Amino acid sequence: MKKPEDCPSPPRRAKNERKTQGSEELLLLERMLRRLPDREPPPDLVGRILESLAPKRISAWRRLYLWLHTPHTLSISPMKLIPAAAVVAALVVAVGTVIAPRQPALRGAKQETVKRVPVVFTLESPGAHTVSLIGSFNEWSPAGFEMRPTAEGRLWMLKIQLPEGRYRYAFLVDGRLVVADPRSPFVESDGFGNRNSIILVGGDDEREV
Amino acid sequence: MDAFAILVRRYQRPIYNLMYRMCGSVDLAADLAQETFIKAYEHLERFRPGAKFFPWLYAIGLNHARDFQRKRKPSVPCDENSLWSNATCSPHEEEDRLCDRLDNDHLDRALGELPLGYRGALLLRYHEDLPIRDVARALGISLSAAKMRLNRGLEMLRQRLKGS
Repeated sequence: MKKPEDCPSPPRRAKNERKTQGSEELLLLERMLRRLPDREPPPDLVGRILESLAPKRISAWRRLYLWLHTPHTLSISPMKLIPAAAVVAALVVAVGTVIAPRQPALRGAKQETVKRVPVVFTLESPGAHTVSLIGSFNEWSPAGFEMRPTAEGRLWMLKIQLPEGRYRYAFLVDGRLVVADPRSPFVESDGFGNRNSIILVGGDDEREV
Repeated sequence: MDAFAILVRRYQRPIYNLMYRMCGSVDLAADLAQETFIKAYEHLERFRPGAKFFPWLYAIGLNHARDFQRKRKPSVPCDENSLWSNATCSPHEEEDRLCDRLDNDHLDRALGELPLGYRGALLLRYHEDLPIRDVARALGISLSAAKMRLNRGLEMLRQRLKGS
């Protein structure tokens, strides 16, 4: 024989049913909120934002510090280069004939050149339409660092030459999703709660990431 | 600046969509998203190193949206082409898309009627999938207050959808 509480009275049963129905509706709402479709931001939004950040006022000393620590690209026309090259050549001759003989220890010193190592970056991202490589070596700009899909379309690949050193990097998938390299054992926080991958480039052999 | 550029790329989409849901206009949403990132950049020294950036940024976005709404009452009319009319992603089959669109349309309208704090909490928790702890941080309220806000927000949303 069942106890009275196992067989709720009709009003109580109706109340329980309403409660269950209410919970199910709330769960459905949660699901609907999760799959609410998003609109794509305008393609120029990132550019607009970054352009508007540039005029931020910083002190002259800070500007000098940043300028000294930022890589710069020089573009020189050959005609303008000729006088500069003449001055440099004159200086080299002066150093070679006047200063260098007085410092015999420097003569034997080896001239260092920047060694570049080929590195292959790969990412498995079968559903992606575009994948680019961004990192501290390209100032986090994807332009010119677009990866190519392999024949099966699952793997994306890019081979670049990097000077020896330590670099932070990530992949930009479909122009909006930034993902760290899942195959890299070295990750580093960017200080904002996200992670970037780390690569150490050195030696003569080609590296594959 | 490099680090900030990657953050802009990472979070432009949720911030833009937050703003679009607040104002209903694509042009205004882009402007408001841009202003949100500029504010975040200008106040970057207030960001606690090691904390999560997104809740902090979202809080700035919500405050900015609140300021905007205060200044622009009555609310700005929606675009003629609704958010859902050319949405780019739908998990359903072709024949279900119309039903989904109608559902989403109702949900979007009901969401738009909620007070900003409730709207932001629901979007952060369920749409952006943030833990309740981060929702609380973004809204500047306690964990229990965030839970209560989510429960009440869902209930308010349900009542509005039933009434529509």
